[in-house]
Amino acid sequence: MKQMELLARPDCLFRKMVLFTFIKNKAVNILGAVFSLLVMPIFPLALMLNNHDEEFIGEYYMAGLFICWVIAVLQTMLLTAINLGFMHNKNASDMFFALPITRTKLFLSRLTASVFGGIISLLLATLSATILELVVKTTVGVGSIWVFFLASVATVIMTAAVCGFFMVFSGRSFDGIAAFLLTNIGLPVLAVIALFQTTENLYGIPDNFFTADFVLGFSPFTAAGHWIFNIMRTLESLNGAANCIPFSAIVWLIISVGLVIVSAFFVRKRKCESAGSSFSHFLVPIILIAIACIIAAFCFGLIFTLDYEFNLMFGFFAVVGGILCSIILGAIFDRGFKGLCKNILVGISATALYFAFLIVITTGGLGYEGRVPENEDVYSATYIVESYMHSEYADDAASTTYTKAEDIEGLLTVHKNILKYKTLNKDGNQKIILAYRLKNGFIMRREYFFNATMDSNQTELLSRNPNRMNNIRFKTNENLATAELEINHSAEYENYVISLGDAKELVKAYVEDSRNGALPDNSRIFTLYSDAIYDDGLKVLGVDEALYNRNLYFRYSKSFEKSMKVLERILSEGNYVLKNMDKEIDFSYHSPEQFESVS
Amino acid sequence: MIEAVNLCKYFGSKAALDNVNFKIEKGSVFGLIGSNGSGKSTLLRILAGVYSPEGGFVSIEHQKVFDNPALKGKIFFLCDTPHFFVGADTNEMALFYESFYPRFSKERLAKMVEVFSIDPKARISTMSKGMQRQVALALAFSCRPDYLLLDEAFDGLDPVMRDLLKRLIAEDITEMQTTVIIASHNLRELEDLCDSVGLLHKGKVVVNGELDNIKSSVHKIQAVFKTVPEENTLSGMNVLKVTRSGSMLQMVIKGNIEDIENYINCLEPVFYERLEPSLEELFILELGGLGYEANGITC
Repeated sequence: MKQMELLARPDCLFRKMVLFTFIKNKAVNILGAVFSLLVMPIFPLALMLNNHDEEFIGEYYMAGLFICWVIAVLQTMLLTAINLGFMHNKNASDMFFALPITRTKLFLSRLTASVFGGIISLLLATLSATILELVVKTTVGVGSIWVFFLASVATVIMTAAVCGFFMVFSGRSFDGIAAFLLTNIGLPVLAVIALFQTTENLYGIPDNFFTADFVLGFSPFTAAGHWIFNIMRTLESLNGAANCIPFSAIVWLIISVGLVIVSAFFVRKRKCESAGSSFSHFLVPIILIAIACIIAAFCFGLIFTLDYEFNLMFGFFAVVGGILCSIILGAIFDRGFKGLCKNILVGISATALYFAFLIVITTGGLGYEGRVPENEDVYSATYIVESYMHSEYADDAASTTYTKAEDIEGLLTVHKNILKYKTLNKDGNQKIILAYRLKNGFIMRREYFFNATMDSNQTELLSRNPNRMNNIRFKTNENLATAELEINHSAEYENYVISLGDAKELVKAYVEDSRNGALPDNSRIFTLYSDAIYDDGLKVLGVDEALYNRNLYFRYSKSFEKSMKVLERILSEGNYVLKNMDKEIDFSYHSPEQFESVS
Repeated sequence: MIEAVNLCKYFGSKAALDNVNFKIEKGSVFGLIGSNGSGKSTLLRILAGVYSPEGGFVSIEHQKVFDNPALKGKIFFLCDTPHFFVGADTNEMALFYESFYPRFSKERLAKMVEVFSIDPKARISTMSKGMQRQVALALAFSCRPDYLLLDEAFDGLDPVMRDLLKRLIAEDITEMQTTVIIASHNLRELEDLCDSVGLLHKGKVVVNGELDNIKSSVHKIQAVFKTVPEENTLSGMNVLKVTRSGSMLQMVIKGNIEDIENYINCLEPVFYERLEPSLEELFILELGGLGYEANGITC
């Protein structure tokens, strides 16, 4: 009797279903495990036996682990489709849903069994890699291999969660796969379109809002892949920093948990009779068609007008694209034109929604564009003129922060003028960033592109502000060990080895010129290549590895009078002639040997 | 006891079941008959907990069935096309059911395998439709459910196997007080087996009750007259159907038999006799009354 009660216990049934399903999947699981073992450790072992350089074995087996991850993800997708496929078959759903187990447990147990196969394949590969690592001892390290394993397991769970969700919400496997692909491809594309059109049309929106990570966050599998690639990249660079999880992966880990909860809840409500029809919920095809229609509307508008400005022609072709897409996709989902009117209505609605969005962003984004905070609401105001004066690699070299009301008012006036005239050249490669820290804790940030030459009248307002110049932290490296000057004017480069004294004098003159309001010319740059001495508190400019971290970039023009004088002196003393200054050029470079004597 | 009250189920805008009410006593055999698409399978799926009703309720042992594993452990639903795992044999399917049905009996399975002459190691997918149905029945009986729901149970079975199935059902009822609900178009088999029947048409219950009571309310009279009476002289009775053959009339009449016999006697027949109407005749008559008859359907 006790045994009978035990057998009837729901948790016991859950375990039984997992076990039974796992055993039933043995063919796929064994294949997955065999493939994984073929890749790992046989692949790196074969390379070792063929006398390949042991130095690269670590990289080989990381590549092997990556292939194993791909196998595990594919295995999980296949198993999820097989194990939850009963919901798409009337007879099978009759059998499964009549079983004495709750629907939620039935779904979760089948999903769990789908995950196990992939995890076991990964575990086998990881154990092989660990043994190999202990024997060969590469720079990758056992810890990194297991970090990779944990990330892979997480992405396998994400895979099962997403596939399971689409299996529950679809009525036929084909439609489930179509929905899966459309979501994984369509959502990021939709995000790209939305962000692209927003940054193009909404004056002042920060362009760094449009990040790859954000877009990838819309697609579960690119998010998972991004994470794995991140780990691969950090492991391959052998710096051991493999535990960095991209934002998109975190988003999708959370979403995966959400999807499992939603699926487990919905499976209880799911109508069994939807087996054999496209989807189990009427909203799913509507959402999918709407996504595809918006993409089609944008593509048609873009292709037939070769422009993305929202005008009559663009609108016409967008409508055509939206409706055509709704008819085609609707016909695929409905297996015919039975729901033609409904699908066209969805297409028109989706295109209308897209137009509404375009209208919003082209008319100021519901007040976003013209919003300038009141002085009394601003705690501090910062502005940065990027690519304006100093190094492209400097972090905050050209940023200025005001906290005094009169300074803030000055900046607000500049902001209002920018909005009033809207004449800044959008296609310029330089930008002004205005960031207000408001008293309510929010930060308001606007970015305006400009061209230094074409928009000098307006940007002068900023550059001639004496407060700004005093606030600039000229991040010159005072402890220079060596210096070499490169002058670039109109894409012509000239390099000279100069003394440290000259380098410091040049920088000092440049700072003074800047503070006196000299305006730089976008095409003229001088660069100081330097070997810096790393002292306490000394920050080397730039973040770019190896190439630029010791270089100082300065944009200048003829208005930089003091700088020009120093430059001319340096060049004349070294028998150099500054090109494009209407003087002859003498290419008598200092040799490396001379450099020693100069320093 | 199984009870359905105002049971409704819709597929889109179409009502598959429309305010269905019935009661089935424990240990009885209930025949579910009806026209094609009348909702028989839908009703069985609701009883099995596969479908959730959209209106009203259905209870077994005063408990709701949907998502109730404890109760569903006592119910076995055999759908019209049984599902088996790809490449599975009878033993594997038995292992599966054994995991979920607490009263599954291996001994019963062994007996069933022997009775139905099933090779337990043969792949089910390679078997004929009739053999597959026998495997499904063997598994169903091995689960020893309290409630056995059979959809088109006699489909694909030869007469011997149909007879065997009837005996097995009778055995289960005697031994375990199993309640059996059979949906079938094979009315001849149901007639032998059922204690009560429910006739469904377009999602509604047309007739519901004990088979004997239903039969006793409809009478088939065959009478010979010197002068065949006009049809209007029969209007005093609830005549469902009249067939003339010379001076002989064959009538199906609803009502009290004594009143009917008195009325017939008044018409001075040379001879008359009472015949037992078959379930099939009742079915055709009832549905004919609702406009569902072969004569009314033009090809």
